Amino acid sequence: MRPAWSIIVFTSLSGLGLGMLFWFGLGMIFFEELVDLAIFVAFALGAVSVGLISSLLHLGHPGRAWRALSQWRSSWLSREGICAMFTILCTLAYLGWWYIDGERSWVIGLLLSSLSLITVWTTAMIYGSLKTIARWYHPLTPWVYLALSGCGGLVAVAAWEQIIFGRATLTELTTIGLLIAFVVKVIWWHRAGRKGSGSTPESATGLGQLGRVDLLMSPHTEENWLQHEMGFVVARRHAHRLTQIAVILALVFPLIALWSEVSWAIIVIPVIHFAGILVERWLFFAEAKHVVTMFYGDRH
Amino acid sequence: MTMLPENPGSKKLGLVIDLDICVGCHACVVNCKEWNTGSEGAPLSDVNAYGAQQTGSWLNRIHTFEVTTEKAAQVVHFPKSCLHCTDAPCVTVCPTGASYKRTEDGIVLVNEDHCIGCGLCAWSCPYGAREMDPVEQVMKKCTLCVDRIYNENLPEEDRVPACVRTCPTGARAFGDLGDPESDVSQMVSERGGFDLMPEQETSPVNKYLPPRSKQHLIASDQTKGTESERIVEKPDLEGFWAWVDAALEKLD
Repeated sequence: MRPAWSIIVFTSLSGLGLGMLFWFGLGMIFFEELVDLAIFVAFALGAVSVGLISSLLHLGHPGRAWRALSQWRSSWLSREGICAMFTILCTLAYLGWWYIDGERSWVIGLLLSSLSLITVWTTAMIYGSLKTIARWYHPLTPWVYLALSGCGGLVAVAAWEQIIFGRATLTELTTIGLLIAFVVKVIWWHRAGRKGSGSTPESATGLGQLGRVDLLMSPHTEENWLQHEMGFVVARRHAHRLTQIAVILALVFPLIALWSEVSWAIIVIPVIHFAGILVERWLFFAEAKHVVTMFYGDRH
Repeated sequence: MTMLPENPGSKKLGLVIDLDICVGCHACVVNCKEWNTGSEGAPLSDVNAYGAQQTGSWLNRIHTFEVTTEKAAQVVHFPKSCLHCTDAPCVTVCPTGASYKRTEDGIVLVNEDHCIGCGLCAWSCPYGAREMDPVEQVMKKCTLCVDRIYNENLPEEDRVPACVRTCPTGARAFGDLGDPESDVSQMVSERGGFDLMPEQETSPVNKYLPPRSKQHLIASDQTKGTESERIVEKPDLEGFWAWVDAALEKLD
């Protein structure tokens, strides 16, 4: 699939913001003044909002995007939009209550954490529900999104604590989070990444009984929209090196930096981690193959 | 509403495409574009139509495949448009309700005024039946010429999809595949019509009829000798052609 920047930024940045809101809902944000809290929330909501706006840029008609909130009964994309809206509203309610009451409401907090998780799940299922793309159509796909989102949020919270208080009490928890995300993603690479579609040019055309099927003449002399969108091959040959880069940036570097004695290291961790997530997300799209390519002579 | 119809009618309009007859002339492709570019909705655009790297939206495409065994090869022309699936994934993924399946006849359509151009329906379609219009940025797909088949302003023989009407070899048939007594259903049962990519579980309405295997023809032909042997053979000619043959030999 064509790795469009709009959807790479959408999934990774909103994932990061939602991960931050998940830990915020659990009450794990350290602060002295409420204004510190507001700044943290501004960062998280900013990430979610920029992600959502980026997803709008992917549309042919962004002005009609409000219509996308209507089909929650069948469409994961519609569910994602609705859940994201509710999460944003719940964040504001949670922060407002905290400001007025002086105490955090653990009920609204728990609701916010749940909504954040559900929204990440719905984001993943936009892709995970597509049977035409074998690599995505795997039960582990939403768990990868959840693990990376949660670990991204944790890395950001740990850095925040260091910046505001100059102390690090979340090192163990962040380490566990990074290791879990690493394990889930590696299992996904091994299971989902190697899964074939089960379709062949023979099953696509129904001509398998006659013999082996190969494309003799394409329907058109130039690449069409389908091939541009779904037959992305550029740099797929670099996939192995990019996978290593993603793992090093998103998971290995943060682990080493966390346990180094360098006090400022933790502040650069979220940036490096997020760069790794961008590479991971680029690969998620670029490596995915669509069964329609069978009609164009591909065999995978 | 992008839920599939809860109580779909028994009528399932669709096409039956005979791969044994199709000669790959692309007339159906051209007439499809011709009719649908002037029908309801935005025209089917072309970008840079006379230059390099031209692109455009088409609702019907013909692939040509080579089917080979160890002994022989056979060419099969393969028209492909929307199969109007009973379990259409392109309908349920649509976030806006623009993509829908009609209860009364099962035709899958796009309401272009509601389409946001997210492309997800095309991602969910295993057949590549949907193409984003490069100018209008809305999803385009086969409508089964819904503006022809019920159009009482047209002569009755024209009330079939444009591709069916134009096919010079009669390789495309249109009818109700939900009715087991219909001509198209009879063709499917007699000729062993099949679904494309049954493993994708979309239950397509359109069916394809298999080409006859031509490999026994090729095999018997081969017993006569190779191409070069046949050329040096003394041809068995009479009358005018015998004189031409003799005259040509004298020239050598």
